[in-house]
Amino acid sequence: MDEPTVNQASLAMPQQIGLHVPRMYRVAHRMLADADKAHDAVQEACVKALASMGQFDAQASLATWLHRITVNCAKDAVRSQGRKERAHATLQSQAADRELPSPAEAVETKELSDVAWTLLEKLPEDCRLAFALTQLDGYSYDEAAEIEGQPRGTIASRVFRAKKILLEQMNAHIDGRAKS
Amino acid sequence: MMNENDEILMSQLADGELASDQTNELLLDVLDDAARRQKLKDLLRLRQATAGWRRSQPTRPVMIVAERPRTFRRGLAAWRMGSLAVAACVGGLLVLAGVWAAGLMVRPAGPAQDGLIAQGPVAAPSVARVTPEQMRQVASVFALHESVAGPLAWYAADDQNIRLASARGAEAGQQPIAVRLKLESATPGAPARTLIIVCRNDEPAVIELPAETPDRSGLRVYLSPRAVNGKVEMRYAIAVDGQSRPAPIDSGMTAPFEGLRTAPVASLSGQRRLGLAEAPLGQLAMGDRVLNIEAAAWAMPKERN
Repeated sequence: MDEPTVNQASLAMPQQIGLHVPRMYRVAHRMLADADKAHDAVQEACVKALASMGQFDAQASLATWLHRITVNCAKDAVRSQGRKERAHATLQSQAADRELPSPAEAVETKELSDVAWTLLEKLPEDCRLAFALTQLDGYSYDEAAEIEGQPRGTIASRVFRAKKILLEQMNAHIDGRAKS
Repeated sequence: MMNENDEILMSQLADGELASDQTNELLLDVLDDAARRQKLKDLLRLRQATAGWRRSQPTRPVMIVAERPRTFRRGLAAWRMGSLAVAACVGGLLVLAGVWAAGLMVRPAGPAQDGLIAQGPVAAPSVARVTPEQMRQVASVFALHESVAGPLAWYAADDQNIRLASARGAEAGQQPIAVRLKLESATPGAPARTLIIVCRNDEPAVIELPAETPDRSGLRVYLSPRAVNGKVEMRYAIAVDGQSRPAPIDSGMTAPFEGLRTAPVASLSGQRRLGLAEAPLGQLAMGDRVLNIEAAAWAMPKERN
Protein backbone atom coordinates (compact mmCIF):
# COMPACT_ATOMS: atom_id res chain seq x y z
CA MET A 1 0.00 0.00 0.00
CA ASP A 2 1.81 3.08 -1.11
CA GLU A 3 -0.85 5.71 -1.42
CA PRO A 4 -1.45 8.34 1.23
CA THR A 5 -3.37 6.77 4.09
CA VAL A 6 -2.56 8.91 7.09
CA ASN A 7 -4.29 11.99 8.30
CA GLN A 8 -2.50 14.45 6.09
CA ALA A 9 -3.88 17.46 7.86
CA SER A 10 -1.74 16.56 10.84
CA LEU A 11 1.47 16.26 8.87
CA ALA A 12 3.93 18.86 7.77
CA MET A 13 4.30 19.60 4.08
CA PRO A 14 7.50 17.62 3.52
CA GLN A 15 5.85 14.59 5.03
CA GLN A 16 2.77 15.02 2.88
CA ILE A 17 4.93 15.28 -0.21
CA GLY A 18 6.76 12.13 0.85
CA LEU A 19 3.52 10.20 0.75
CA HIS A 20 3.06 11.09 -2.91
CA VAL A 21 6.59 10.26 -4.00
CA PRO A 22 5.84 6.74 -5.31
CA ARG A 23 3.20 8.05 -7.69
CA MET A 24 5.35 10.97 -8.73
CA TYR A 25 8.06 8.46 -9.51
CA ARG A 26 5.73 6.35 -11.64
CA VAL A 27 4.64 9.39 -13.62
CA ALA A 28 8.23 10.42 -14.25
CA HIS A 29 9.30 6.86 -15.01
CA ARG A 30 6.49 6.48 -17.53
CA MET A 31 7.53 9.68 -19.25
CA LEU A 32 11.28 9.20 -19.13
CA ALA A 33 11.60 5.41 -19.40
CA ASP A 34 14.61 5.47 -17.13
CA ALA A 35 14.61 4.76 -13.40
CA ASP A 36 17.57 7.00 -12.54
CA LYS A 37 16.31 9.91 -14.60
CA ALA A 38 12.86 9.45 -13.09
CA HIS A 39 14.40 9.58 -9.64
CA ASP A 40 16.21 12.79 -10.52
CA ALA A 41 13.03 14.33 -11.93
CA VAL A 42 11.11 13.47 -8.76
CA GLN A 43 13.95 14.82 -6.67
CA GLU A 44 13.77 18.05 -8.64
CA ALA A 45 9.98 18.12 -8.30
CA CYS A 46 10.28 17.80 -4.52
CA VAL A 47 12.74 20.66 -4.40
CA LYS A 48 10.42 22.82 -6.50
CA ALA A 49 7.36 21.84 -4.49
CA LEU A 50 9.01 22.79 -1.22
CA ALA A 51 10.37 26.00 -2.69
CA SER A 52 6.93 27.03 -3.90
CA MET A 53 4.92 25.82 -0.94
CA GLY A 54 3.53 29.33 -0.57
CA GLN A 55 1.85 29.04 -3.96
CA PHE A 56 -0.02 25.89 -3.03
CA ASP A 57 -3.70 26.51 -2.57
CA ALA A 58 -4.73 24.52 0.46
CA GLN A 59 -8.18 24.05 -1.08
CA ALA A 60 -6.68 22.25 -4.05
CA SER A 61 -5.51 18.68 -4.14
CA LEU A 62 -1.90 18.14 -3.25
CA ALA A 63 -1.86 15.15 -5.60
CA THR A 64 -2.84 17.34 -8.53
CA TRP A 65 -0.35 20.04 -7.67
CA LEU A 66 2.51 17.59 -7.28
CA HIS A 67 1.51 15.79 -10.47
CA ARG A 68 1.79 19.02 -12.44
CA ILE A 69 5.18 19.82 -10.98
CA THR A 70 6.38 16.29 -11.68
CA VAL A 71 5.15 16.34 -15.27
CA ASN A 72 6.85 19.68 -15.84
CA CYS A 73 10.12 18.40 -14.37
CA ALA A 74 9.92 15.26 -16.49
CA LYS A 75 9.20 17.33 -19.59
CA ASP A 76 12.20 19.51 -18.79
CA ALA A 77 14.29 16.37 -18.53
CA VAL A 78 12.94 15.10 -21.82
CA ARG A 79 13.72 18.40 -23.49
CA SER A 80 17.17 18.65 -22.00
CA GLN A 81 18.03 15.22 -23.27
CA GLY A 82 16.49 15.73 -26.67
CA ARG A 83 14.28 12.77 -26.05
CA LYS A 84 10.80 12.26 -27.25
CA GLU A 85 8.17 11.90 -24.63
CA ARG A 86 6.74 8.77 -26.19
CA ALA A 87 8.84 6.35 -24.26
CA HIS A 88 6.27 3.71 -23.47
CA ALA A 89 7.62 1.13 -25.84
CA THR A 90 10.96 0.98 -24.09
CA LEU A 91 9.17 0.28 -20.86
CA GLN A 92 7.74 -3.03 -21.99
CA SER A 93 10.31 -5.31 -20.49
CA GLN A 94 10.60 -3.26 -17.31
CA ALA A 95 6.87 -3.31 -16.75
CA ALA A 96 6.54 -6.99 -17.45
CA ASP A 97 9.31 -8.07 -15.12
CA ARG A 98 7.25 -7.35 -12.06
CA GLU A 99 5.75 -9.68 -9.52
CA LEU A 100 3.47 -12.16 -11.24
CA PRO A 101 0.97 -14.67 -9.90
CA SER A 102 2.06 -18.13 -11.08
CA PRO A 103 4.35 -19.50 -13.79
CA ALA A 104 1.53 -20.36 -16.20
CA GLU A 105 -0.36 -17.14 -15.59
CA ALA A 106 2.86 -15.24 -15.52
CA VAL A 107 3.74 -16.11 -19.07
CA GLU A 108 0.33 -15.10 -20.28
CA THR A 109 0.17 -11.98 -18.16
CA LYS A 110 3.61 -10.94 -19.29
CA GLU A 111 2.59 -11.40 -22.88
CA LEU A 112 -0.59 -9.41 -22.31
CA SER A 113 1.42 -6.76 -20.56
CA ASP A 114 3.86 -6.54 -23.46
CA VAL A 115 1.03 -6.30 -25.93
CA ALA A 116 -0.73 -3.69 -23.82
CA TRP A 117 2.38 -1.54 -23.66
CA THR A 118 2.84 -1.77 -27.41
CA LEU A 119 -0.77 -0.89 -28.06
CA LEU A 120 -0.84 1.94 -25.58
CA GLU A 121 0.86 4.22 -28.04
CA LYS A 122 -1.93 3.68 -30.51
CA LEU A 123 -4.71 4.82 -28.21
CA PRO A 124 -6.38 8.17 -28.76
CA GLU A 125 -4.58 10.81 -26.72
CA ASP A 126 -7.43 11.48 -24.27
CA CYS A 127 -7.98 7.77 -23.60
CA ARG A 128 -4.26 7.11 -23.26
CA LEU A 129 -3.78 9.80 -20.63
CA ALA A 130 -6.79 8.69 -18.60
CA PHE A 131 -5.61 5.10 -18.82
CA ALA A 132 -2.05 5.99 -17.83
CA LEU A 133 -3.13 8.07 -14.85
CA THR A 134 -5.48 5.45 -13.42
CA GLN A 135 -3.90 2.16 -14.50
CA LEU A 136 -0.19 2.95 -14.45
CA ASP A 137 0.39 5.89 -12.15
CA GLY A 138 -2.15 4.74 -9.57
CA TYR A 139 -4.37 7.81 -9.35
CA SER A 140 -8.01 7.36 -8.45
CA TYR A 141 -10.66 8.40 -10.96
CA ASP A 142 -11.38 11.46 -8.84
CA GLU A 143 -7.75 12.50 -8.80
CA ALA A 144 -7.40 11.87 -12.53
CA ALA A 145 -10.50 13.99 -13.10
CA GLU A 146 -8.95 16.85 -11.18
CA ILE A 147 -5.63 16.49 -12.97
CA GLU A 148 -7.29 16.55 -16.36
CA GLY A 149 -9.93 19.09 -15.40
CA GLN A 150 -12.71 16.78 -16.56
CA PRO A 151 -15.75 15.29 -14.80
CA ARG A 152 -15.23 11.92 -13.18
CA GLY A 153 -17.70 10.35 -15.59
CA THR A 154 -15.61 11.49 -18.54
CA ILE A 155 -12.53 9.86 -17.04
CA ALA A 156 -14.45 6.63 -16.41
CA SER A 157 -15.65 6.65 -19.99
CA ARG A 158 -12.18 7.33 -21.41
CA VAL A 159 -10.62 4.63 -19.27
CA PHE A 160 -13.24 2.18 -20.42
CA ARG A 161 -12.71 3.09 -24.09
CA ALA A 162 -8.99 2.60 -23.68
CA LYS A 163 -9.54 -0.78 -22.06
CA LYS A 164 -11.98 -1.80 -24.76
CA ILE A 165 -9.50 -0.99 -27.52
CA LEU A 166 -6.68 -2.72 -25.68
CA LEU A 167 -8.77 -5.82 -24.95
CA GLU A 168 -9.93 -6.10 -28.54
CA GLN A 169 -6.36 -5.80 -29.79
CA MET A 170 -5.07 -8.19 -27.18
CA ASN A 171 -7.75 -10.76 -27.93
CA ALA A 172 -6.97 -10.44 -31.62
CA HIS A 173 -3.33 -11.00 -30.78
CA ILE A 174 -4.15 -14.09 -28.73
CA ASP A 175 -6.46 -15.47 -31.44
CA GLY A 176 -3.81 -14.88 -34.07
CA ARG A 177 -1.28 -16.72 -31.95
CA ALA A 178 -3.68 -19.65 -31.45
CA LYS A 179 -4.27 -19.97 -35.19
CA SER A 180 -0.58 -19.90 -35.98
CA MET B 1 -26.57 -7.64 -24.36
CA MET B 2 -24.67 -5.15 -22.26
CA ASN B 3 -24.97 -1.48 -22.93
CA GLU B 4 -22.01 0.83 -22.65
CA ASN B 5 -23.03 2.16 -19.26
CA ASP B 6 -22.96 -1.37 -17.86
CA GLU B 7 -19.53 -1.90 -19.33
CA ILE B 8 -18.24 1.35 -17.87
CA LEU B 9 -19.53 0.23 -14.50
CA MET B 10 -17.74 -3.10 -14.90
CA SER B 11 -14.57 -1.26 -15.82
CA GLN B 12 -14.85 0.76 -12.62
CA LEU B 13 -15.57 -2.41 -10.68
CA ALA B 14 -12.32 -3.93 -11.93
CA ASP B 15 -10.50 -0.79 -10.85
CA GLY B 16 -12.04 -0.81 -7.37
CA GLU B 17 -13.73 2.50 -8.03
CA LEU B 18 -17.27 1.56 -7.06
CA ALA B 19 -18.82 1.93 -3.63
CA SER B 20 -19.25 -1.24 -1.64
CA ASP B 21 -22.99 -1.64 -2.13
CA GLN B 22 -22.74 -0.87 -5.83
CA THR B 23 -19.96 -3.44 -6.12
CA ASN B 24 -22.08 -6.13 -4.45
CA GLU B 25 -25.07 -5.38 -6.63
CA LEU B 26 -23.06 -5.52 -9.82
CA LEU B 27 -21.22 -8.68 -8.79
CA LEU B 28 -24.50 -10.47 -8.12
CA ASP B 29 -25.64 -9.61 -11.64
CA VAL B 30 -22.34 -10.56 -13.22
CA LEU B 31 -22.07 -13.92 -11.51
CA ASP B 32 -25.33 -15.05 -13.07
CA ASP B 33 -24.31 -14.15 -16.61
CA ALA B 34 -21.56 -16.05 -18.41
CA ALA B 35 -20.87 -13.32 -20.97
CA ARG B 36 -20.53 -10.66 -18.30
CA ARG B 37 -18.38 -12.95 -16.18
CA GLN B 38 -16.00 -13.30 -19.09
CA LYS B 39 -16.03 -9.58 -19.66
CA LEU B 40 -15.18 -8.91 -16.03
CA LYS B 41 -12.45 -11.52 -16.16
CA ASP B 42 -10.89 -9.78 -19.17
CA LEU B 43 -11.04 -6.45 -17.40
CA LEU B 44 -9.47 -7.90 -14.28
CA ARG B 45 -6.67 -9.50 -16.28
CA LEU B 46 -5.96 -6.21 -17.98
CA ARG B 47 -5.87 -4.58 -14.57
CA GLN B 48 -3.52 -7.31 -13.40
CA ALA B 49 -1.25 -6.77 -16.37
CA THR B 50 -0.45 -3.27 -15.11
CA ALA B 51 -0.29 -4.11 -11.39
CA GLY B 52 3.48 -4.41 -11.37
CA TRP B 53 3.82 -0.92 -12.70
CA ARG B 54 1.46 0.51 -10.11
CA ARG B 55 3.54 -1.05 -7.35
CA SER B 56 6.83 0.31 -8.61
CA GLN B 57 8.81 2.46 -6.22
CA PRO B 58 11.83 4.68 -6.58
CA THR B 59 14.97 2.59 -6.73
CA ARG B 60 16.49 4.67 -3.96
CA PRO B 61 15.07 7.10 -1.43
CA VAL B 62 14.01 10.50 -2.68
CA MET B 63 15.12 13.30 -0.44
CA ILE B 64 12.52 15.88 0.21
CA VAL B 65 14.75 18.87 0.39
CA ALA B 66 14.17 22.57 0.09
CA GLU B 67 17.72 23.01 -1.12
CA ARG B 68 20.16 20.30 -1.81
CA PRO B 69 22.33 20.28 1.26
CA ARG B 70 26.06 20.03 1.11
CA THR B 71 25.87 16.45 2.27
CA PHE B 72 23.72 15.43 -0.68
CA ARG B 73 26.40 14.44 -3.13
CA ARG B 74 28.32 12.57 -0.54
CA GLY B 75 25.15 10.74 0.45
CA LEU B 76 24.32 9.88 -3.12
CA ALA B 77 27.74 8.46 -3.67
CA ALA B 78 27.40 6.38 -0.58
CA TRP B 79 24.09 5.02 -1.80
CA ARG B 80 25.65 3.90 -4.98
CA MET B 81 28.68 2.45 -3.31
CA GLY B 82 27.28 0.64 -0.38
CA SER B 83 24.34 -1.14 1.05
CA LEU B 84 23.56 1.64 3.46
CA ALA B 85 21.14 4.21 2.22
CA VAL B 86 22.40 7.61 3.20
CA ALA B 87 20.13 10.54 2.99
CA ALA B 88 20.11 14.14 4.02
CA CYS B 89 16.39 14.63 4.10
CA VAL B 90 15.71 18.20 4.98
CA GLY B 91 12.03 17.39 5.05
CA GLY B 92 12.68 15.21 8.01
CA LEU B 93 15.20 17.67 9.27
CA LEU B 94 12.67 20.46 9.12
CA VAL B 95 10.39 18.45 11.30
CA LEU B 96 13.18 17.44 13.58
CA ALA B 97 14.42 21.00 13.66
CA GLY B 98 10.96 21.92 14.80
CA VAL B 99 11.22 19.27 17.44
CA TRP B 100 14.52 20.62 18.59
CA ALA B 101 13.52 24.25 18.34
CA ALA B 102 10.49 23.54 20.45
CA GLY B 103 12.78 21.78 22.85
CA LEU B 104 12.54 18.05 22.30
CA MET B 105 12.99 17.73 25.95
CA VAL B 106 10.93 19.79 28.27
CA ARG B 107 12.89 20.87 31.25
CA PRO B 108 10.70 21.64 34.22
CA ALA B 109 10.97 25.12 35.57
CA GLY B 110 13.66 25.21 38.16
CA PRO B 111 16.48 27.30 39.33
CA ALA B 112 17.93 27.60 35.82
CA GLN B 113 15.88 30.34 34.25
CA ASP B 114 16.35 33.20 31.85
CA GLY B 115 19.59 31.75 30.61
CA LEU B 116 21.14 31.84 34.05
CA ILE B 117 22.54 28.62 35.33
CA ALA B 118 21.97 28.16 38.98
CA GLN B 119 24.97 26.98 40.86
CA GLY B 120 25.78 25.82 44.31
CA PRO B 121 24.21 23.29 46.62
CA VAL B 122 20.74 24.78 46.44
CA ALA B 123 20.43 24.15 42.69
CA ALA B 124 17.97 21.32 42.08
CA PRO B 125 18.81 19.15 39.08
CA SER B 126 16.53 19.65 36.10
CA VAL B 127 15.62 16.49 34.24
CA ALA B 128 14.55 16.67 30.63
CA ARG B 129 11.64 14.55 29.47
CA VAL B 130 10.26 13.63 26.09
CA THR B 131 6.67 14.78 25.62
CA PRO B 132 3.92 12.77 23.87
CA GLU B 133 3.80 15.35 21.05
CA GLN B 134 7.52 14.98 20.45
CA MET B 135 7.16 11.20 20.41
CA ARG B 136 4.46 11.56 17.77
CA GLN B 137 6.70 13.81 15.70
CA VAL B 138 9.56 11.33 15.77
CA ALA B 139 7.13 8.56 14.82
CA SER B 140 5.86 10.65 11.91
CA VAL B 141 9.36 11.34 10.62
CA PHE B 142 10.27 7.67 10.86
CA ALA B 143 7.04 6.68 9.11
CA LEU B 144 7.77 9.19 6.38
CA HIS B 145 11.17 7.74 5.69
CA GLU B 146 9.81 4.22 5.69
CA SER B 147 7.10 5.27 3.27
CA VAL B 148 9.78 6.48 0.91
CA ALA B 149 12.63 4.07 1.53
CA GLY B 150 10.79 0.94 2.66
CA PRO B 151 11.28 -0.82 6.01
CA LEU B 152 14.30 0.50 7.87
CA ALA B 153 16.69 -1.29 10.20
CA TRP B 154 17.63 2.02 11.71
CA TYR B 155 17.40 5.72 11.13
CA ALA B 156 19.64 8.40 12.59
CA ALA B 157 19.50 12.15 12.20
CA ASP B 158 21.08 15.21 13.63
CA ASP B 159 20.55 18.75 12.45
CA GLN B 160 22.93 18.26 9.53
CA ASN B 161 22.27 14.92 8.01
CA ILE B 162 20.24 11.77 8.07
CA ARG B 163 21.41 8.22 7.67
CA LEU B 164 19.32 5.16 7.34
CA ALA B 165 19.69 1.49 6.64
CA SER B 166 17.20 -0.80 5.01
CA ALA B 167 15.80 -3.64 7.09
CA ARG B 168 16.71 -7.16 6.15
CA GLY B 169 14.64 -10.20 6.98
CA ALA B 170 13.10 -10.18 10.42
CA GLU B 171 14.36 -6.73 11.35
CA ALA B 172 11.35 -5.05 9.80
CA GLY B 173 9.00 -6.93 12.13
CA GLN B 174 10.74 -5.80 15.30
CA GLN B 175 9.36 -2.97 17.33
CA PRO B 176 11.02 0.37 16.63
CA ILE B 177 12.85 1.97 19.53
CA ALA B 178 13.51 5.70 19.52
CA VAL B 179 16.59 7.12 21.19
CA ARG B 180 17.48 10.72 21.79
CA LEU B 181 21.22 11.03 22.25
CA LYS B 182 22.83 14.27 23.31
CA LEU B 183 26.54 15.03 23.27
CA GLU B 184 27.21 18.19 25.15
CA SER B 185 30.49 19.77 25.97
CA ALA B 186 31.00 20.25 29.67
CA THR B 187 32.20 23.72 28.79
CA PRO B 188 29.30 26.13 29.37
CA GLY B 189 27.98 27.69 26.19
CA ALA B 190 29.40 25.12 23.82
CA PRO B 191 26.81 23.79 21.34
CA ALA B 192 25.37 20.33 21.95
CA ARG B 193 25.01 17.74 19.24
CA THR B 194 21.68 15.96 19.39
CA LEU B 195 20.76 12.83 17.51
CA ILE B 196 17.44 11.18 17.01
CA ILE B 197 17.90 7.49 16.38
CA VAL B 198 15.25 4.91 15.67
CA CYS B 199 16.47 1.32 15.72
CA ARG B 200 14.83 -2.05 16.28
CA ASN B 201 14.14 -3.98 19.45
CA ASP B 202 16.70 -6.76 19.97
CA GLU B 203 18.57 -5.76 16.81
CA PRO B 204 21.96 -4.14 17.29
CA ALA B 205 22.57 -1.07 15.16
CA VAL B 206 25.95 0.34 14.24
CA ILE B 207 25.66 3.91 13.06
CA GLU B 208 28.37 6.18 11.77
CA LEU B 209 27.91 9.87 11.32
CA PRO B 210 30.80 11.75 9.76
CA ALA B 211 32.06 15.11 10.86
CA GLU B 212 30.29 17.59 8.66
CA THR B 213 31.95 20.75 9.81
CA PRO B 214 35.36 21.50 11.29
CA ASP B 215 33.87 22.10 14.69
CA ARG B 216 32.22 18.70 14.75
CA SER B 217 33.48 15.22 15.36
CA GLY B 218 32.78 11.99 13.60
CA LEU B 219 30.60 9.73 15.65
CA ARG B 220 30.13 5.99 15.83
CA VAL B 221 27.28 4.59 17.86
CA TYR B 222 26.48 0.99 18.69
CA LEU B 223 23.07 0.45 20.21
CA SER B 224 21.40 -2.76 21.22
CA PRO B 225 18.00 -1.97 22.74
CA ARG B 226 15.46 -4.21 24.41
CA ALA B 227 12.06 -2.95 25.51
CA VAL B 228 11.29 -4.11 29.05
CA ASN B 229 8.22 -3.06 31.01
CA GLY B 230 7.85 0.34 29.41
CA LYS B 231 11.57 1.09 29.60
CA VAL B 232 14.41 0.36 27.25
CA GLU B 233 17.33 -1.74 28.40
CA MET B 234 20.12 -0.31 26.29
CA ARG B 235 23.59 -1.68 25.67
CA TYR B 236 25.67 0.96 24.02
CA ALA B 237 29.09 1.92 22.81
CA ILE B 238 29.85 5.40 21.56
CA ALA B 239 33.06 6.58 19.95
CA VAL B 240 33.85 10.13 18.95
CA ASP B 241 36.85 10.87 16.81
CA GLY B 242 38.76 14.04 17.26
CA GLN B 243 40.19 14.41 13.80
CA SER B 244 38.27 17.56 13.31
CA ARG B 245 39.73 19.16 16.35
CA PRO B 246 43.49 19.03 16.43
CA ALA B 247 45.19 19.25 19.76
CA PRO B 248 46.48 22.68 20.67
CA ILE B 249 50.00 23.26 19.44
CA ASP B 250 51.11 24.22 22.89
CA SER B 251 49.43 21.26 24.54
CA GLY B 252 52.78 19.85 25.45
CA MET B 253 52.19 16.45 23.90
CA THR B 254 55.24 14.33 23.81
CA ALA B 255 56.18 11.99 20.99
CA PRO B 256 54.24 8.90 22.15
CA PHE B 257 51.04 10.91 22.00
CA GLU B 258 51.67 12.52 18.66
CA GLY B 259 49.47 9.94 16.94
CA LEU B 260 46.54 11.00 19.03
CA ARG B 261 46.78 14.42 17.55
CA THR B 262 45.76 13.16 14.13
CA ALA B 263 43.18 10.57 15.07
CA PRO B 264 42.26 10.61 18.70
CA VAL B 265 39.22 8.53 19.53
CA ALA B 266 37.31 8.67 22.77
CA SER B 267 34.84 5.97 23.56
CA LEU B 268 32.57 4.73 26.26
CA SER B 269 30.34 1.72 26.58
CA GLY B 270 27.90 0.32 29.06
CA GLN B 271 24.36 -0.75 29.73
CA ARG B 272 21.56 1.33 31.17
CA ARG B 273 17.81 1.27 31.54
CA LEU B 274 16.43 4.31 29.73
CA GLY B 275 13.06 5.99 29.78
CA LEU B 276 11.53 9.27 28.71
CA ALA B 277 13.62 11.18 31.22
CA GLU B 278 17.08 12.03 30.00
CA ALA B 279 19.76 9.99 31.76
CA PRO B 280 23.55 10.28 31.68
CA LEU B 281 25.43 7.52 29.87
CA GLY B 282 28.83 8.79 30.82
CA GLN B 283 31.53 11.21 29.79
CA LEU B 284 34.10 11.22 27.03
CA ALA B 285 37.43 12.90 27.61
CA MET B 286 38.93 14.33 24.46
CA GLY B 287 42.15 16.20 24.90
CA ASP B 288 41.31 19.29 26.85
CA ARG B 289 37.56 18.89 26.81
CA VAL B 290 34.91 16.62 28.21
CA LEU B 291 31.70 15.56 26.53
CA ASN B 292 28.66 14.64 28.57
CA ILE B 293 26.57 11.94 26.89
CA GLU B 294 22.91 11.77 27.83
CA ALA B 295 20.07 9.74 26.40
CA ALA B 296 16.37 9.08 26.59
CA ALA B 297 14.62 6.19 24.85
CA TRP B 298 11.15 4.88 24.30
CA ALA B 299 9.46 2.05 22.44
CA MET B 300 7.44 3.29 19.49
CA PRO B 301 4.15 1.69 18.45
CA LYS B 302 4.59 -1.02 15.86
CA GLU B 303 3.89 0.11 12.32
CA ARG B 304 0.62 -0.83 10.73
CA ASN B 305 0.92 -3.26 7.85
